[in-house]
Amino acid sequence: MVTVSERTGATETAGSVEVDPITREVISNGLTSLANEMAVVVVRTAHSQVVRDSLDFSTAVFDPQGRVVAQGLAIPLHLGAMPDALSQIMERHAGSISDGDVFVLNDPDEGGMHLPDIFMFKAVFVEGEILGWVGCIAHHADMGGRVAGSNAVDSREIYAEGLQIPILKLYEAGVENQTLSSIIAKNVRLPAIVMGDIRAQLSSINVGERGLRKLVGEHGRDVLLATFDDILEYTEGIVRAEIARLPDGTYSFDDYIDDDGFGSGPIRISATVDIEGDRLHVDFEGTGGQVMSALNATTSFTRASVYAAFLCVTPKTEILNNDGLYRAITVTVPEGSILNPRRPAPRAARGLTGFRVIDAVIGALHKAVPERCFAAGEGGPTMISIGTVDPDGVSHVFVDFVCGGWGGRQTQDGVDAISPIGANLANVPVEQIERDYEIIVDEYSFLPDTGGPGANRGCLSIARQLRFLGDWGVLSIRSDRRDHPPYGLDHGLPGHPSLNILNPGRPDETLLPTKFTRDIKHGDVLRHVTAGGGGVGAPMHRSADLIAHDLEEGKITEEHARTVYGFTGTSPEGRSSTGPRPHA
Amino acid sequence: MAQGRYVLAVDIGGTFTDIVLQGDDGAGGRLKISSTPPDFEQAILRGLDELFGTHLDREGVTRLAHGTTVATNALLERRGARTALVTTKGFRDVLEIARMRRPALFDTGFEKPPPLAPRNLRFEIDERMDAEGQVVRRPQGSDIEALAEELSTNGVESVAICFLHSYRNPVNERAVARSLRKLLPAVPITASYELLPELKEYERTSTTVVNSYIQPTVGRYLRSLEKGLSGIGFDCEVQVMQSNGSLFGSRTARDQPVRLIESGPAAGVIAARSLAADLGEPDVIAFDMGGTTAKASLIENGQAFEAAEHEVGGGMNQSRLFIQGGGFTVRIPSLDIAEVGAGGGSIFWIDQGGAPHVGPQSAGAVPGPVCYGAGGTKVTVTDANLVLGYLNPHSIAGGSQKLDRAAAERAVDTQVAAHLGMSRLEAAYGIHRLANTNMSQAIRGVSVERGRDPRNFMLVAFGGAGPMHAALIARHFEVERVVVPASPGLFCAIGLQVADLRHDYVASYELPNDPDSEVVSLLFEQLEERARGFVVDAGLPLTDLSLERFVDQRYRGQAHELSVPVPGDRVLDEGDIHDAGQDFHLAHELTYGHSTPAEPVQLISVRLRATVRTPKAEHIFAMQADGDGTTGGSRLAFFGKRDGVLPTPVVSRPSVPVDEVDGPMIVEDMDATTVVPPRFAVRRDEVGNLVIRAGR
Repeated sequence: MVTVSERTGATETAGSVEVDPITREVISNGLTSLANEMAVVVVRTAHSQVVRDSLDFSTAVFDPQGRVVAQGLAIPLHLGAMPDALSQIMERHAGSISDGDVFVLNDPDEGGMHLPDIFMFKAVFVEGEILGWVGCIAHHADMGGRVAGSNAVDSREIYAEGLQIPILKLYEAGVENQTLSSIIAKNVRLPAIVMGDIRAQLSSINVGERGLRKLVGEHGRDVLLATFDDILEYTEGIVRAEIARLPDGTYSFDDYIDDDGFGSGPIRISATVDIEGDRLHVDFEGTGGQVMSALNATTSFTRASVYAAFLCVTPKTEILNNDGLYRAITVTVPEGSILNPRRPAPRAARGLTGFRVIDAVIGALHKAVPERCFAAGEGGPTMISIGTVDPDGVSHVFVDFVCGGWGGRQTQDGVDAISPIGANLANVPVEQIERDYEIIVDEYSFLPDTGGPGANRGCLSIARQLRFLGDWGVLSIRSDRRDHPPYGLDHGLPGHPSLNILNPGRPDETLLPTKFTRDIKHGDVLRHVTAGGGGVGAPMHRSADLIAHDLEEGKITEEHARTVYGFTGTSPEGRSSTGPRPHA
Repeated sequence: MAQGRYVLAVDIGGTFTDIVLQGDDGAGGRLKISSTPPDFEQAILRGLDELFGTHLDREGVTRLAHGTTVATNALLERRGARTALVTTKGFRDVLEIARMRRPALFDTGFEKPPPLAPRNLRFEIDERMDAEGQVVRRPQGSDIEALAEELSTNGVESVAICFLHSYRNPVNERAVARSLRKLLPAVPITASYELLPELKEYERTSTTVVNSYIQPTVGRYLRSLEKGLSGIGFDCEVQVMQSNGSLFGSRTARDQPVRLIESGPAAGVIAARSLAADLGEPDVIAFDMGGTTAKASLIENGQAFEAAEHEVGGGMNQSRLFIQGGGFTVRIPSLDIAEVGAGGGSIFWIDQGGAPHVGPQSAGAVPGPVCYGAGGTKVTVTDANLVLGYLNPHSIAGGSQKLDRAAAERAVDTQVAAHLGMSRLEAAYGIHRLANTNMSQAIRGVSVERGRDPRNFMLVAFGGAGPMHAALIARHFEVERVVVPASPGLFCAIGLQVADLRHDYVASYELPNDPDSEVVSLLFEQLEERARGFVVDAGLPLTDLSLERFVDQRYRGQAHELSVPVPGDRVLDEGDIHDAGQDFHLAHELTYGHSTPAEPVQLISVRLRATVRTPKAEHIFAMQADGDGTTGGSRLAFFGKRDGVLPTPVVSRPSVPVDEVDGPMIVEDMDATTVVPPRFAVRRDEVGNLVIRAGR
C-alpha cells in the first residue's frame, strides 16, 4: 500500500500549527464532501417517503468541541439545529463517552425540535482521543401519538404527540441497546419504515466516522484541528463582512399565523433586526405567547429560520453551513412565547411557525436592503396526512407536503411551483400515490389569476384534489395564509388565500378550516389550494410583454388583465412593450 | 492499397471532429479536424475525403459508428421543434410543476428552465386509467379530432403524448397516438409507453417531451449525413452511440433521439472498458479531463455503471441521487459519469474572504489561457502547468498551438503568488493541487459514494489534460496504477470502434404480492420478442444476438432499486426468484455496507439487455507511428515542497522504455502530455500504453 504523504501543508511555529490556504481549502472541500456523502447514504438506504423523496433530514460533521464544521445537503430549517442537541449530550455525558457509542434523542426540551425528528450522533475516536463528531437528523414517518404521522396541529400536550426519547445511547461501545430499539418499534405505527430509517441514519454516521478518520490519517491530527478553527474563522469573517455592508439601523416587521387551530385568532410573529457594524441581532420581542396547539417552536428552530432568511438576502456561495455563520448572528426569543414555550407544550407542527419566522425576518430586512428581498411565497408547504388501518390491524400513513411557489422578486416574477425557501421538498408522484394508497388524485394544476399582482407577480396557486377510496380514515391538515395571505412589497399586492374544500361542487360542499383533524369516509374529496405568492412593485408597472405572455399561457384571464393590470386586448395602452422589469 | 474491410468511427464535439478508421487487416488512419457547426456533417464528409483520397476503397467500409452532440445541442440551445404535449385531464401542468426542487438552496434568482412544451401547447384529453390498469374513461373520437385540428392551427411540429398510468396499460395512449398519426401524417408523434413504460408521471412526461422536442432536428441531421455519405461513395450502415455506451441503428435513433443525449462522453468510457479488458483488469476508473470539465466513471467486473436518470442542462452535479430541478429530466439509462467544472481552461480566483479557488469558470478555447496569447488575462490550470514545467515551453499539439511561458509566469506572480504570499512555483503548484481536489470530487462521486473503494481500481487517464494530473489524483485515492493509452486525445473515437450494439427493455412488475415466477417469465418473453424485432430491423442476423435478463429489486419502502441478473436460458421457477432475492441482499451489502435479510424484498421491474457484439479490430489500441522516437532532452519541473525543482527527462512515447524507470519524466504526445512525478515509475507496454505505478 502507498502511504499518503502530502502532509507538507503544515509548519510548526512555537506550539501552534499554521495551515497554508491551499491545504485549508483541500480539507474544507473534504469535509463538505464527507457531509454530502453521509447525506447520499441516507437517501439511498432510507425507507420512508418523507426522507427519501422529501429529503427531510440533514447530516453534519463537528469538531471536538461540538461546533459544526460542515453540513450536508441540508434542509435550510435544520441549519444550526444540531449543535444544541450535541452540546447537551457532551455536557450530560462528559467523561462517559466511549468509542462506539451512538447517541439518540428527539425531546424538544433536551435539544430536539419536534418528536418526529430523531437526532443521532457519534464521537469519532482516533487513538483514544475524540477528534470530532458526526451527526444525522431525520424526520420519521411516525412517532406514535394520537394522530397518524405524529404531525397534527391540534394536540394540546407533548404527551399526545408520540414517543419522547431523552438523550440515550442507542449503541454503547458498539453494542446495540435492544431495549430502546424495541420500545421505539413498539410505539410507532410504521415499525418497519421507522427502524429502516434509523438504520439509514446509522449507516450515514458510520460512513462519516470512517471519512473523518481518513482525513486525520491524510493530514495529521494537528493540521486537521487547526484547520477546523481556520474554517470557522474564515466563514465568520465572510458573514461579518456581509453584515457590515448592510446599512446600520433597527428594522421591524410583523407577520401573522391565521390561528392555532383552536380559535386563538391571529398569532403575531414580530421580528426586529438590529444591525450595527458587523453585528446582526434579531429580537422576537412582541411575538405572541405560546399557543395551546402544536405550532410552538423551539429557540434552536427559530435560530435556524433566522439563518435561512439571512442567507436568502446574502446568497454568497462562499458561506459554508458551519458554526462561523451561527456565531456571527445572535437571536433572542422571549420565554413563554410561541418561539420558546414551556413544557408540556406540543411542538409537532412547529414547521409552519418557522416558515413564518422567515417571512417576518425577510420583511424586516426589506427595510434595510429592499433591492435584495422578495415578497412572501405560499407560506410553507401544506401538510396533508391520512391515516388508515387495515382490517388486519396494519396501519398506513399517507403524508403529502403540497408546495406552492415564491413571491415576486425585485427583477423577476416569483417562481411558479417550487419548494419554499425554508425547505427543498419534492412532491410525491400522482401515480405512486394511486398505486400505494386508496386515494385518487383528480387534479394537480395551476389556478389562473391567483398570483399576487405586481410589476413582478407572485407565484400561482396550485390545486391538489384528492379523492379518498378507503372505508374510513383520519384526515389531518396543517395549512395557513387564508386570513393573512402572502404579503406583497413596494406596492405589490398579496396573493390568493389558501383554501381547503370538502366535496367541491357537491351538495355537501364545505369550506374547512386551515388546521384540523377529522374523520373522512369513502368517496370524500379534499381540494387544497395553496396560497398565491405576493407581488413586488405596483401592478400598473408590469410590462405589457409579461402580461401578454401570462395571457397566452393562460396564467391570467383577460378579465384579470383588464381589471387588475388595466391591460385591454393586445394594445399596450401606453405601456412600453419592453419596459424595464425592475419596478423602481 | 489493401482491399480490407473497414469500420469508421466519427466522434463530433463542439470544437473538433475525430475520425478513426480501422481495417480488419490492421490498416487504418486517424484524423482530428475542426468541427463545422451548424452543419456538422460537412466536417465528416471533408475528413473522409481527406482520409480516403483516391487510394482507399470506400466500398470496403462496412459501417460507420457515430458519436454526436447534435441532440444535446438542440436541447441546450433550445433550437428544437415547436412541441405540444397531450395529457390526462387535470394534469396539464405536471410538466411545469415538475418535482418542486431547486439545485442551490439560497439562490433566490433561480429560474426553472421554461418547459419545452409551453402551457398554451399543453392539451388535456378527458380520459383516465387507474393504477391497476383498468380503463376508467376512454378518449372520445370527437375530442381527438378537435385536438388534431387545434394542433395544426397552432403550427405544432412535434407531439408528445403522456397519460396517467399508461405504463400499466397503454390502450388509451395508443388509441390517441394512432388517430393523431393518421390525422397529422407529417407530424412526428411520441407516445410515452413506447419510450418509457415506467411509473412516475413527471419523469415519463419530461422524457417524452424531450424526445419530441429534438426529434425533427436529429432526424434532419441523420438524413443529411446519410445522403452526404452516399454522395461521396460510402454506402454503409450508420450506427449511433447512445447514452448507455452502446450503438443502435440510425432508424431507431431517429425515432428515439432522447437515447443519444449523452452520446459524447459515453464513448470514452467504452474505450476504457475495452482497454481494461485487453489488459486483464476488471476494475478501472475512467478519467477524462479536457478544457472545461473532468469526467469520471467506474467499471467493475468489466461492466460500466449506469444511471437510470439524469438532468440535461442543469449544470454539473456530483451526485445524481438528489433531484436537482435545474435541467430537463431524462429517464433513459446512461453511463454513470460524474462531471466537475475542472479542466485545463479553469480559471483561478480568490474569494472575498481570501480563499483560493479553481473553476468552474473556464477560459474555454476563446480567449483561452494566458499563455495562448489569444486575449486571455486570467490564470488557468494550463498556465500553472506551463509554469511548473509540465508543458512544453514553446508549443503543444504538434506545434500548432504556441505557448508564451513568460506571460503565464507574470500572471501567476501577480494574480496568485502575491496574494497568497507564496513563491511563483508554490503558487502554480497550489493551482495544480486545487484542480486535483476538484477533480477528485468526480472520482469520489462514482466510487466512494457508490460504496466502492478506489484503492481496488486502476485509473485510465485520457483527454487532453487527464494524463498531466492523473498520477497525483491516483495518489490521493491510493490508487496504485495509472494507464495512459496511446492517442489519449482520440480515445472517444476509439471507443466508437469497439462499442457493441445494444438495446435495453424494461417492463414494470406491478403485482402487489410476492413475485410470481410465471408472470416474470412471461414479461421476459414479451421483451425478448421485441428485442428480436430490433435486430431484424437493424439488418443483422439473429444468431449474433445475446440476451441477458435482470430483475430490479428493493426493500419495501425504498425508492432506489438494484439490478441483479437471473438465468436467461429457460423458464424461471420459484427457486430462481428466491435466488434473485438473496443476490439482492448481497448487492445491497456491497453497495451500501449493510443488508437486512429479514426484510421483505420487492421486485419492481424486469429488464432485458439485447446485445449484438461487433468484431473488434486487434490493433485498435496500438500506438500509431506518430512519435519520432527522439527524446526532447530535459527541462526543470517543480513537484511540490518536498521534491522541489528537478531536472526532468522529456521524451516522446516510443522512447519510453519497456522496463520500468523512475520518475520524474514527461511524455509528450501529439495530443496530450503525460507527467510522471517523482516517487512514481513508468513503463511502456507492448501496445504503447504508458503504465504509471505509485511507489517508492
